[in-house]
Amino acid sequence: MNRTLNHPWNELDRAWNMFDQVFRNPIGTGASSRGKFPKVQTWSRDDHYAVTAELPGVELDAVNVSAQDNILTISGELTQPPTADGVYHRNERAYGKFHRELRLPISVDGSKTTAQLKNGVLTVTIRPVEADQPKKIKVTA
Amino acid sequence: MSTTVLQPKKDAPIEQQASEHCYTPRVDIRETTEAIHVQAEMPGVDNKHVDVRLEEGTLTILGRVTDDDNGKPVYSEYRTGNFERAFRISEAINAKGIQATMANGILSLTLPKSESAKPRQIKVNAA
Repeated sequence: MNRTLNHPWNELDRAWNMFDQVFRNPIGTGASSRGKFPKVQTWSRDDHYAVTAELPGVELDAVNVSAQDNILTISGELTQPPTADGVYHRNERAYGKFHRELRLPISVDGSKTTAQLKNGVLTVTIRPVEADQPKKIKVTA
Repeated sequence: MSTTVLQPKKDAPIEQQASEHCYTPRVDIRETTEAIHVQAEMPGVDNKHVDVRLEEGTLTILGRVTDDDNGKPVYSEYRTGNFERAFRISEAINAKGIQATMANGILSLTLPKSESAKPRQIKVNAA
């Protein structure tokens, strides 16, 4: 019988795929007409995960990221630039406050979480708390 | 002010992909007496990878996403790709004066109106 030893991270990846369903019923969503805001992507790499979100036009000091247990919160505000005069011919962009809580399949180590906002894309790098990481158990005779 | 000097070339629905890796950026277009102001959402595009072209009355904005290698995707609500959108512009734009800046994933364009397109104030003199 062939046995495949799964890399422990594969198991977690499977959990992330399942969390798609959780995402369909997020705790909090943006109130804008475009549905969930911001939209996110999740990436798996070596010993960490990355969550990216498109936030075009959001200033660095207008975005907040926090992590507690298995909840990652991204919130902030997209303020409309002051318009002194003029007529709008197109108004496709959305403005206002946003708040999104993502329930993750892992508990996040907040002290090892970093976030970067670059060219309107937020990248949050998360690492599971030690307890969630596979521990090597010594086998004795 | 009632004349729309700048119009999207084709009214493609937003978020509809022009091709597999090309997206239509959302825009705000505001017209003042002096200029047309365009703001286009291009998340992931930096100032080195944006292209603004004016050819034969068509203004085309292009943004190339420089993908950071984040690893293997495990969950996805959006897809990344380049941005492209074209607008018909009238001759009432002073092409040489067009200015473009890129910040926080937003392309901002200022298209100054040519002198003939600006509203003129006519001074009324006393007889």
